[in-house]
Amino acid sequence: VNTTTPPQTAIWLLRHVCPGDNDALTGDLIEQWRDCRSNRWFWKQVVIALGLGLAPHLTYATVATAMQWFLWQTIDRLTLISPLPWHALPWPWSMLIFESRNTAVLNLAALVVLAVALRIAATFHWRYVLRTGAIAFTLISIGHYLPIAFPTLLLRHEVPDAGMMRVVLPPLALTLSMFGAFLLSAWIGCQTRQRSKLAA
Amino acid sequence: LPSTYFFFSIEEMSKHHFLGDTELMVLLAVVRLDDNAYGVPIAQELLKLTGREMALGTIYAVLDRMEQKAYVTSVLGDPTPERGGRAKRYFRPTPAGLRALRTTRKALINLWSGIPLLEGRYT
Repeated sequence: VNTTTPPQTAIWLLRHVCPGDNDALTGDLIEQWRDCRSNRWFWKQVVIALGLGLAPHLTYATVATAMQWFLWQTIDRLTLISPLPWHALPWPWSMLIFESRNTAVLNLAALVVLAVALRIAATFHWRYVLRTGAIAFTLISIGHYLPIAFPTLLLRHEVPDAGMMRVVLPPLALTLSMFGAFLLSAWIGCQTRQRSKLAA
Repeated sequence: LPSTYFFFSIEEMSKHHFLGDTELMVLLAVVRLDDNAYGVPIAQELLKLTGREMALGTIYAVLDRMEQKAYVTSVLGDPTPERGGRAKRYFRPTPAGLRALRTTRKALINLWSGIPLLEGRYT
């Protein structure tokens, strides 16, 4: 029988990262671990639980990030030829729509994927999807305006055209930050009431 | 005859809720364990009877999904020190869960019957 303590980091991940109330699962794992199961077995069980619990979030983040890269130009063209007369609106509404249209269209498309993934996992609620959408929109907008807030850190002049600026961050860092933003949005947006109570 | 059974089963699918193989195994384990159906014994029962080692996370994911479908209900027991102060979560099948089991069983029996290849005649 194991008499030392089970992996505390794994227990912390189950409690604070894995969606839902995992107290009973943690208890089962500790019970089995005390019955001569190894730390490796414990970690394997936690990784499987995390993978299953975060599957809709990971799917959403992956698809949304991929769409960001592969559909950006298409969305740009689509919104430019849009029949909606957003440009005729008074300032600042026209500016607001001009700045946020790509993020909004991308977000709406990616939210469909999240809704399907949540439906498959039988954890679908409209409030999860709406909350995730609002958070993702806010985070992506912050990311969009970050280079303007910190120009010396994140921007540099384009070599052929001194008037043009471009973001210094390498594409991989941009992709990862985008993926992280979508994942965080889904994770916060799909929090259950049980978890909120636990956290409180 | 097998084709008749096949189309009968397809027709029945639109009327009833069928269980997937993992759901079927987990729900049967819950029924078999009666009052002691929580994560650890369910995993042990599945290993003993099917030879399949299912992760506890998978079992809970399946049970959560079935609870959403109202096939099972769960209640928390008392916290115990050997479980790090965590309570056991006991599962029980609901009448809808038992109905889904019977429906799936009937459909599977219909699908299995009348197939000579699977009855050992050609082995």
